[in-house]
Amino acid sequence: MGVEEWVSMYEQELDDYHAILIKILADRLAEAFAELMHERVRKEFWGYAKEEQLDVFSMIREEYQGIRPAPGYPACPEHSEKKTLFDLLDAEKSVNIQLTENYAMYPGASVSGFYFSHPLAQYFNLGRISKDQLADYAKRKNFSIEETEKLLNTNLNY
Amino acid sequence: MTTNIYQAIKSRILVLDGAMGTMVQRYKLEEADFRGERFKEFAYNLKGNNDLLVLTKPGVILEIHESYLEAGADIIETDTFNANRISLSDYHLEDLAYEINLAAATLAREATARFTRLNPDKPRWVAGSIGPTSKTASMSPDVQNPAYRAVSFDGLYDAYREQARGLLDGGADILMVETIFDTLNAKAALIAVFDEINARTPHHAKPSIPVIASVTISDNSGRTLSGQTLEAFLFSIIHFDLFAIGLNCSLGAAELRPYIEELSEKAPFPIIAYPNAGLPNQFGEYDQSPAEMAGYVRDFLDNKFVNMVGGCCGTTPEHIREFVELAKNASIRQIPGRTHELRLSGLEPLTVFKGSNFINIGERTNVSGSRKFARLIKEDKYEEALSVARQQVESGAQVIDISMDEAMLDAEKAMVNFLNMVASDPDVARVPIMIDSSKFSVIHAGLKCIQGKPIVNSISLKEGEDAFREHATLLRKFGAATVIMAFDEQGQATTLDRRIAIAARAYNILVQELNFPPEDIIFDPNILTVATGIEEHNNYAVEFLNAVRWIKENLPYANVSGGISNLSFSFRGNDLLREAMHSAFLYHAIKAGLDMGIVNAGALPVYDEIPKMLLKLVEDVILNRRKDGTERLLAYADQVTNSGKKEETEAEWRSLPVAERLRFSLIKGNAEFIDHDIDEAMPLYDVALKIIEGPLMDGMNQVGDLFGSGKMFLPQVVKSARVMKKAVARLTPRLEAEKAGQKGIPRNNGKILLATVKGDVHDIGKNIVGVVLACNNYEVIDLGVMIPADKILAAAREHNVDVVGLSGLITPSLEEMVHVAKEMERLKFTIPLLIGGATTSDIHTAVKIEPHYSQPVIHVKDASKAVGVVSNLLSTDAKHDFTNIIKKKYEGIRNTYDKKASYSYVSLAEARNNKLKIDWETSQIYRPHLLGNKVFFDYPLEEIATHIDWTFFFHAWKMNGKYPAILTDPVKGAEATKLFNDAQRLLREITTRKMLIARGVVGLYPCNSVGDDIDVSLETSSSRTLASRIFVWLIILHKKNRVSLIISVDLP
Repeated sequence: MGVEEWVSMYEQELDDYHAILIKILADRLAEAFAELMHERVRKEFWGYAKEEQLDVFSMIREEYQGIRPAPGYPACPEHSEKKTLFDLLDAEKSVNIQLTENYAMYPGASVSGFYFSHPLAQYFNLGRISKDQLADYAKRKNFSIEETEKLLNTNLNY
Repeated sequence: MTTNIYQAIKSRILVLDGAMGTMVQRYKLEEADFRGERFKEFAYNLKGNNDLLVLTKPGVILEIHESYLEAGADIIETDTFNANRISLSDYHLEDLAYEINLAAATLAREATARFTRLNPDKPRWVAGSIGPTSKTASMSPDVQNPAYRAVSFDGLYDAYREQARGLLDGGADILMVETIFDTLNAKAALIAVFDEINARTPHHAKPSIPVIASVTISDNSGRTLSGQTLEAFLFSIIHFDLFAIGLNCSLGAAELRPYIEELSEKAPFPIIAYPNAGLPNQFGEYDQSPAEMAGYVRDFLDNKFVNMVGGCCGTTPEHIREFVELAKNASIRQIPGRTHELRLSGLEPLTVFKGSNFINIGERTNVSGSRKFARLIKEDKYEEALSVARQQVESGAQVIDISMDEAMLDAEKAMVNFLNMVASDPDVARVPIMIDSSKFSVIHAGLKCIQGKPIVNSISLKEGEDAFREHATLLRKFGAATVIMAFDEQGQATTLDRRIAIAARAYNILVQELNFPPEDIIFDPNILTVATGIEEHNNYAVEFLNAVRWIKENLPYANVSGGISNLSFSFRGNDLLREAMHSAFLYHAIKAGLDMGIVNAGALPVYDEIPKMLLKLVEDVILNRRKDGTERLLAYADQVTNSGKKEETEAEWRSLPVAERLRFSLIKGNAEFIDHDIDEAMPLYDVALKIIEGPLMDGMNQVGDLFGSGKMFLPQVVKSARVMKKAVARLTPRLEAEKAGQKGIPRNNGKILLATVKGDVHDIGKNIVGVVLACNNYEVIDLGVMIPADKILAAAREHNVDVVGLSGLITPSLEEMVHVAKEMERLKFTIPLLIGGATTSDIHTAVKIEPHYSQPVIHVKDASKAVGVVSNLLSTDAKHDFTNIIKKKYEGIRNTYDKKASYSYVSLAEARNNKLKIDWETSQIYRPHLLGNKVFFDYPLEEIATHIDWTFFFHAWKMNGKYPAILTDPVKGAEATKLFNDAQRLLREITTRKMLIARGVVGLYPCNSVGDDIDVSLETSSSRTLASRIFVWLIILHKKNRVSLIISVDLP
């Protein structure tokens, strides 16, 4: 939170360099926060890996048990799932992060995702899906076919 | 209960008393009260000198002590916070220092003795309060003269020692160096205090006066007034045998919590916390109630952060009474053991541990290593000399070696002066210092100027064991790590055997006899020059490597260092060859266990990048693999012309003509002189526009070319753009005036409109494209983020732009871009449309967008492509061919894409059948400690920053490569390091000034797989009655699918 006012201050000073630098750092901090929260979830809040001793580089290489997929990434490319997630976490109210009509998070330096702890859990790339799968998915989501196609545009095999 | 405080601290929480000043205020004493009979006629005002009251109103002070003892405090502090010679001189009472301390301790002792007598089961102790004094040894009060100091280390030492003597003579049980705001003051105090205690302790007996050190954090930056982080402070005084370490004053308990927690995690001592009663109210008073403050103290105790608690400003016996109650049932904090890692500090900490990277020690701030530095020191140009140090740190030195050993210099004076200059520049003072001198007096003088934990370079057995012991003992007092040279009474060790013998002997004296921490020993087994033509020298490097291995294997925790450039002395003048030798040598030395080395941080090629031929020749020499190695390397050296890659120094480029200087500033991205140079250029050009079109555009064109050809990197381009903007801003008033007078308006290559589409917020890539285009003289109109189609198109019309560029990150934005394309077609636009952003692709653009718009639609992969695309589109000659090529390419993509669709997939039912089966019976499922949501409203950024993935940071700047390797990359390394340093600086500012806020929420819920989906049960969410939530998932249809999502937590 708070990036925008600093960006506009730097822009007023004609300092694009710092304007961009602070945006990039804010993005990195948001990602780092997600990494740190995941670590605390594993060791503390969930506590399934209390003995874990990984340095940051090992964490970046995902050497820990469990995964942290996020809507919009290859395993779950469909962004509207963020809506369910945000409702569950009450995120718009509790931490003041909004979802746009297309499920982008605002402010931009925001990260969300799911924690799974099972040792066999691993990331995968959904790849392309067929028409019948899309229809099945749309039904489960209670969305129209058209709306769902828009949301999964890049994953259609037809 | 025990009367021994060393036993007591292990078995219970000790409670210190509260504020003295706050209690004195309650008595509303007047000038006459402070004076008493004795100072009735004193020439100066004495009101406010609370310490004097032990002589003039002892009854008041005694009453205050007793009120705290009645409240249950285990320890009371003497009324001597300012009773040192330096602070007392503000009242012209410096000569009373000893007397006040003596009287104060006697008075407090009278009170504790009475209470201990009344209840021998609860012994009470007197802690002699030793404040920071009114002056600081690390900072200059004179902005004109950053090297000036209002007080010297020796002056502080004397004042503190006198105070300690008074307190101990009066019967103080404990000495308490408190409210530390400058670690150098604290070092003087602690050395003085321990000297005084040791002088009173019989030979061979263990000193029995506990010493406590307590620091104060100046604000929420988490630093001391003198700029150190908490950890850096800890490292500076960790060598003292402290009874406890802690934090007091400046903040309330709530604000102090993160620092207490940090100290508790890291300090191998008992922890004491005595905060203020909250933050000051509008009248500057502390008014947190005892109950409220007790809530925070309870939290400290529950979390086992502390072993001792008490109160500072604003606290009263009522507060202490609450703490005493809490302490009764509190559990004991165990003291973490000491680990054997080399811990150094400047303003920031540096830990050298097993597996940490090689530490670069900057060598340029050495008068015998750098001619430029030597000249600056001799000419008394300390400001400029400081910039040499700054440049070292910027190019990656993690420690800087400072040496003033030169026949023509007063080394001691130069060392002190320069170290004081260094302390004034936080960018340099950030890193630990290596004091380098062959004269011990210079080292001693240097140690008195450094608040961090430095390295001394060096001591040795050259003058025999007695001198060695004496030097080491002094270094131990200051807590300095030290380099031990492989020298003894017979001279320098050149063979392996001699190196081993000397190292072993020195190690034994230090560790066994002097109790010197082994991790603070850094051996330098002498890197000697090879390839000298003398046969005995050929094996020097090999023997060094063997010595390193031996030390690492046989002398536990000791570190090894070396001066690398010695190795290649015989090739002086041939930097290319020398750097290759250094790099190859380091490669082998690091493998052998070398922990650190003195190097020219900016000039080391990557081992793998050394040409194979050269590497072989160099390694033949270093590893002494063949007899004629030296001749062969010399022959090679003759062939290679030494390119002498000299950078233009500042002085040189500043003497160029002004147009050249403008160009240079742009290329270097240096905004420092731009206003000055623009002003100087103005009268030389009849219209301001010509400055833009002449030197400025020349410079920017060159930047564009260098970037286009991969010789410049994005961060540099962005800096150049900043200089351009500043230059144009400086010229704007005159441009406006001339525009009115029709003298011309700036020409540009075209107008580009950029926007992130509706529903999307990401814009860094778009910003970068904008800057790169602006650098190439395009006018960029950036509408920002979340812009609906109608606004984009209205703005395109209004500004009469030549190209529209759309950006988006998330998948739904692709649809939005299609919508914009359709609208442009409907509204009969005739300008090209560019598509960019993380999810966009050639395929999507070709298949989904291009068919909807009859003008060129082009996907631009990243900023480096933008200029090429735009210049082609806007060139009357090239446009036709260029757009045709793209059209053909996209047609091709559409055709193959159609074919791809027939790729084989399994049916949905089959895929579901294929999914990974998990045996839930045997899977261990943990019940989370936390169920439901947990909100973090303002998470400490410092902690978050440690988890940054810097590789992606460089990625965002289009500098691909893994961190930290990218910092030493032969091509990108220098720029990557600069960028990294800028980022670190801004990050520090962000964290210390709290420029950003981190908010987060995590939730853990029981859930189950239901088909492909995840059913989250909300039974545990107590306050609300939501139905269960389903997360809907998709399964891979691709053949050979073995993976599927694995879910589940069934709670026992």
